[in-house]
Amino acid sequence: MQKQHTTKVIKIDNVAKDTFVFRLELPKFPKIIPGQFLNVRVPGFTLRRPFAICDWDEKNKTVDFGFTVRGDGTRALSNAKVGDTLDVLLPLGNGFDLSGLKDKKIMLIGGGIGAFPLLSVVKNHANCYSFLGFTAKELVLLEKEFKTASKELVVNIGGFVTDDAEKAIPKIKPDVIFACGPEPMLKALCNKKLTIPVFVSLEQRMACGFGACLCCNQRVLVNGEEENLRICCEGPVFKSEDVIWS
Amino acid sequence: MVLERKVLGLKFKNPILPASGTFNMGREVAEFYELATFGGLITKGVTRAKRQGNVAPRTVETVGGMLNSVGLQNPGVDAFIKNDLPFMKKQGVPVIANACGTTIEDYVYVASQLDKSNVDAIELNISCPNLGKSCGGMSFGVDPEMTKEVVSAVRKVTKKPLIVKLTPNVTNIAVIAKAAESAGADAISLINTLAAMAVDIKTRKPILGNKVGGLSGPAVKPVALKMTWDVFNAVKIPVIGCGGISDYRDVIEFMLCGATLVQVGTGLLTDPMCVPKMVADLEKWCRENKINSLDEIVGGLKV
Repeated sequence: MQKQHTTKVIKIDNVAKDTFVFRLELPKFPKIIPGQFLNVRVPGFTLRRPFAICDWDEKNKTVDFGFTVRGDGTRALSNAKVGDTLDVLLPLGNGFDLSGLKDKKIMLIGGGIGAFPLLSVVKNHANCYSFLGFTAKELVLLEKEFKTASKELVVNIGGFVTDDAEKAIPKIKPDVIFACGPEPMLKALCNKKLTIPVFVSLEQRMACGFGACLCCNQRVLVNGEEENLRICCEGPVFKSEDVIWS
Repeated sequence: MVLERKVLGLKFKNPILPASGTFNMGREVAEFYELATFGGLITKGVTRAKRQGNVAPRTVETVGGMLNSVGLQNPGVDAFIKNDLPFMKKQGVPVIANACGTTIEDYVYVASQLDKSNVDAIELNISCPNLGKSCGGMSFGVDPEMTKEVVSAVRKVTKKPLIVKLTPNVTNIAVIAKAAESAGADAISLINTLAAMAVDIKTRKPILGNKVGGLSGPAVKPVALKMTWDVFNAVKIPVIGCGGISDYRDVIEFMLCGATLVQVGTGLLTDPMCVPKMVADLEKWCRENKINSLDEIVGGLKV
């Protein structure tokens, strides 16, 4: 399967402060799973930048990804214009496993730009309950998109969205929880020792994005043994109870 | 055919190899194109026992390059021979196993296991900066006596072509190269990464979990070219150049400085597709410049 794509930027949305969603047009469309990511080459930089895929349209051969400006590379990327070409590797990573969840309820918990990969779930599953947390009002993103596609949406600004979600569990009775966000948030969620299966999407400083360099390691329990797995290949989604937090 | 290289009793259909540690055991790049696109393959560094590698984060980008502190995460030599080598050998190009250790006994064990396998050559890694303070890796490659000692010990247990990969973190790399040659090395490869560090001013901590790592990428190319030239002029055995190669012009520069073969590392991480392009561009350049064999340019620097 072709992984390297020369794409064209066809739409840029400034969805929150310093935060953007780019729509790319692909010459050839690969099969994508919700929660997978892409790795964008930013001209002038040695390493690609990995970002969550947040939506796609197979018919029109487009893929959306979101990012926030964190450093020089993302700053440079944010200056791209509609019509520019981007060299992108995709789809990468395992993604969220939706097989067997057809009639099940999924609770989504996102913190900040952790909402991006969760949007790809909500767009591909009819029974999602979304809980999104942001540290400030100007950082709230994709509220309309989540509201349209979710059964229910709770947005928390400045507080702990994981607490909101926990309180709602008895009422919603979700079958599974998918979460993405800053490490302290995911750790707090895992520490709640919920009886529902929780899957977390993690990030780490990454080089190749396709498994060759072994740079983006995550300590994970595999058959009771501690292993360093690659976030870009065996992840970014892991079963929460297998994750050994740093 | 113009790109074909005959070195170490092996035939490489072009001079471009992956640099150890940027290619794992080849399966990931194989998802992009046939591995026979390379002239030969080089494995991730293998050690006596399985290694988990260093704590995260293991990489950070720097201007014109990157740091890594992977720490030789690998399945161990025996698991490598059983699970990975058959796949690599199936690709139809020579396979070079990168061998590393923390003691001479480790190096000897790894080399003797590899000697019994069907790898085509061994690249002795005495230059890994990520093995910590415990002796091993780079601590061999910074001392000519220790270089001699480990290369001699390994030479005794294998008749396979033996390449010794050198670290740039030394006062005079030619002295180390000569030590390796005198101890029986069949070729020298250089450079491994430059010991380096990156700092986060917000946390006032080093960015890498291992605190220090190795610098690679275009930023190190001028250093690597100079050292390739130094070593080419100091030894009689073939030299394999490595450091910041990302297009065909880089390959030519290294060959002019004396490299018989080259390794592409960080370039593969930036753009896995750079190798097929490099091979095609190099062939075109040879045709345009009426080069019939790359031997015509190796060491041809006009000084």
